[in-house]
Amino acid sequence: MIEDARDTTADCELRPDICIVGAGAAGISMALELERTGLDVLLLESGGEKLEPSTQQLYAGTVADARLHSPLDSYRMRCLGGSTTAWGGRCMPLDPIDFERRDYVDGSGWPMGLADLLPFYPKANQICEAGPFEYTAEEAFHRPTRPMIAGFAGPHFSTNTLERFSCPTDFGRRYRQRLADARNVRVLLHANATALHLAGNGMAVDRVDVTTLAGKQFAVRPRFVVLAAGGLEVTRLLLASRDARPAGIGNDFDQVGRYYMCHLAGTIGALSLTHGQSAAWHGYDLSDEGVYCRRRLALTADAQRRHRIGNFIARLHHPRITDPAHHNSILSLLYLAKPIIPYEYRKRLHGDAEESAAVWLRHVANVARDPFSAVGFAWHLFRDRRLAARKFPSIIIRPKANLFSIDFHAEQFPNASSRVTLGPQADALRVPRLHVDWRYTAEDVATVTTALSLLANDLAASGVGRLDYDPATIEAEMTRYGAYGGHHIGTTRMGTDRRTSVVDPDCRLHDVDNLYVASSSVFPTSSQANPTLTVVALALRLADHLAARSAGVLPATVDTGGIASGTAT
Amino acid sequence: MKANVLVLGASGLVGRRLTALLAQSDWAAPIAASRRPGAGTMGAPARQLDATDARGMAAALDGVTAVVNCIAGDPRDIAAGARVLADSARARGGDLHVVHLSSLAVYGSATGTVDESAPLRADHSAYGSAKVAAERSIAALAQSTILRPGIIYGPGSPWWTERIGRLLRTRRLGDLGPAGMGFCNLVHVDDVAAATVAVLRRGPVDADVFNLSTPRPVTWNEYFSAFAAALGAAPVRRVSPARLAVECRLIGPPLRALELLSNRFPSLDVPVPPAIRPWLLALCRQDLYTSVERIRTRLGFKFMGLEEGLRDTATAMKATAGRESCR
Repeated sequence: MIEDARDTTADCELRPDICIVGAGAAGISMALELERTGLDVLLLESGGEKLEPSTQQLYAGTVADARLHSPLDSYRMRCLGGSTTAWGGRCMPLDPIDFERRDYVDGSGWPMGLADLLPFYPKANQICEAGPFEYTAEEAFHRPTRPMIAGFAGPHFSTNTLERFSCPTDFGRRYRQRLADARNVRVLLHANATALHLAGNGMAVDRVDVTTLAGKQFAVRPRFVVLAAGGLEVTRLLLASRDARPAGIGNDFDQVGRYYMCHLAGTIGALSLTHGQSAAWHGYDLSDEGVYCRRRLALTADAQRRHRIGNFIARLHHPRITDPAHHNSILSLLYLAKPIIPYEYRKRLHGDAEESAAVWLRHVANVARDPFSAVGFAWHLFRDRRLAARKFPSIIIRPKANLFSIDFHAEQFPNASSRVTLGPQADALRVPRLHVDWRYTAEDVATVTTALSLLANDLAASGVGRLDYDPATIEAEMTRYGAYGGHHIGTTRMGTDRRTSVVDPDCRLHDVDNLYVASSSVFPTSSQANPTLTVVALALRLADHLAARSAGVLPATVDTGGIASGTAT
Repeated sequence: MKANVLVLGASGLVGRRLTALLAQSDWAAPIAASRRPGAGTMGAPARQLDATDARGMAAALDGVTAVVNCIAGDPRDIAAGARVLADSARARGGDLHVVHLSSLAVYGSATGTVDESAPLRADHSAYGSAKVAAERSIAALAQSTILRPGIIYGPGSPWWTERIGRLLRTRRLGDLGPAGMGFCNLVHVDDVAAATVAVLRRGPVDADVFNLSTPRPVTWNEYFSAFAAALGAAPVRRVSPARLAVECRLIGPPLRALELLSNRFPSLDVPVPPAIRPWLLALCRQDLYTSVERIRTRLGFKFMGLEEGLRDTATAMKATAGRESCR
């Protein structure tokens, strides 16, 4: 059922089996999965069914360097469905190497392997509506598909792994009815969790404080608490719950909020192909289920190990939109349309060149020179994106000249000094606001630098093309738009040692028996992969764990004096 | 000597398959009973019979070892035919084995996984209510076996194969998203015929009942995309709820009217595109899976894989289309 906290009686006390904080990708997936267990699940959502400015404002915070990180109320949506209401839908699993302990990556090594997630990925794929869990061209297509670059043959890069696209599915709209129909799941909208209180011995959450924006307050005393409010907000809630632990919950060893990672992304270079642009296919292939799939250039695990760098993928891309020198009417049309494009997608439409009237006029001239392509493209966007139930995922433009650029997405290494902390200000509910100090290191620049040079070598060695770029510009390009928006990783990292991690392999806080995290903030390392699919897979795994624990199949791991085994009535 | 097996509704989809299968066997001599005179009999002797006619039924049961009731269609005929059959069988006495083809429609609006012990619910449609009434008549006979097939697909299946195929080819159906997440409980027509033969061979045991469906739950979305792939109509398109509403409310009624008109005047020979009807969409949403554990364990029955069944169906459809285009 779905209810509104504003309509409930104040000062009441709720005693569900499981309280999930945040109805986004992780929270909704867990609630749906727990439906079949019959456990009493309370899903708290700060927002309503639509985005509301006063609720969204609760996200606001400060950033150390505005050039390196987007404002904290962007790329995050505080409403039913969470940030899936605005995501791009790109899905892919982590690679086996991402889980390994790599001696050249400080803090690497997950306390679990890909095999632990494989049972959950297919269902996660289904929930994300990205079709079957098939992530190579050979698995996904039983017919021959076009090669990405004809004649390209490694050895450092493969081109057969895929990214698949969700509709993109807005979890709020898509699963609203199922949540409403679920008898044992109660979704409470406009219910803000503002603090967690530990029981006397400090080893279990006793109470979650919940407040509406109008000030109505009530308490939740669940058997288990799952924080699923997004990487940054989970961290904020732990740090802000300071009554029993002055540094915040789980933070005795100063680990909460550290190792903040996003991805290193950017567009660089000019790739000309020996056999002309027709030798390349950089668009989408549709699987039988109608799912958009796309090949990528993926740096092999061997190459990563040999060169001691992070995970890296690249795609063929159109030239930079902001520079009218591309003479492409479609790209210029996009440039001109930027006032009506949402912020999260608009960022790349801003260059560092001055936005003069002259530049604007040159873009207009580009459109005027080839209006038919621009009109055709506008129609394609209208039909295949605006009207379509499964949306064409991105702008794919075949450059007229034989010139592509390289769009890369790379792993950022864990770095203890890249961190989020509580700032001096507080929000309308008196919860301290976050301060983000995202940092990258020379090793991160090395990952991109080395990977690009290996890619250039591979292209040349295969005789298929030539990639020109200025290595001196790599750092500027990979930080041109700052930390890649929306991927909030590492701030409550998973591990087996409580001195260097926050949650255990079950995603439970080391010293709090009934407190769990379902978020990309538990990833110890960031991979090249967009995190949503793995967040959902981890959430399903956690749902399984909680179902087993509630059923008494699993013993409590910390002696809590009976709290976890249920004082709830 | 071969056993005489009377097949009621022998000109229907299942009746034809079953008659052919029995005719090929070394143990059964099928008699193809149908209301329509001169219906194809798949190499078996024909008998014209209105199943609601008690006297005709009694005469038809004379000298047969078993009777299989494959009558589908009008709900009134289904219920009345079963009642007449039960009465006639009782009156005849002896070792007559009555095998009745029911439907998953007897589970009505049930949801979740149901096995054969689930209660019958006449709460969904006139068809379902008629099937419930028919089952009640037959189940009162000690020597009966009831089969509850799900959605019967395969070559010649007018709704679930031919119409769905046309809707997939024109991309009016495809990935329905949330609207296609119900389970479709498919069963290939050959499996229905083979299961019937299996129960005939075993003979009546305590008024047994068996579901017939896919061994694992398959959603309508999965069916549509797998069938489209087999037909060469992949990839399927994601069909939005708004589009389905338009199909159902605006496009459906006039198409249905045209279809009725075309049925009334077959000589006009006007091809009418299939309508997407509200009951189809309701079925596509129904979260009901009929478990087939009982027939697998008790009879060791093996179902055809969906992929194989769809491949076979698509091949047969292409062959028919080829023949039609040559004409």
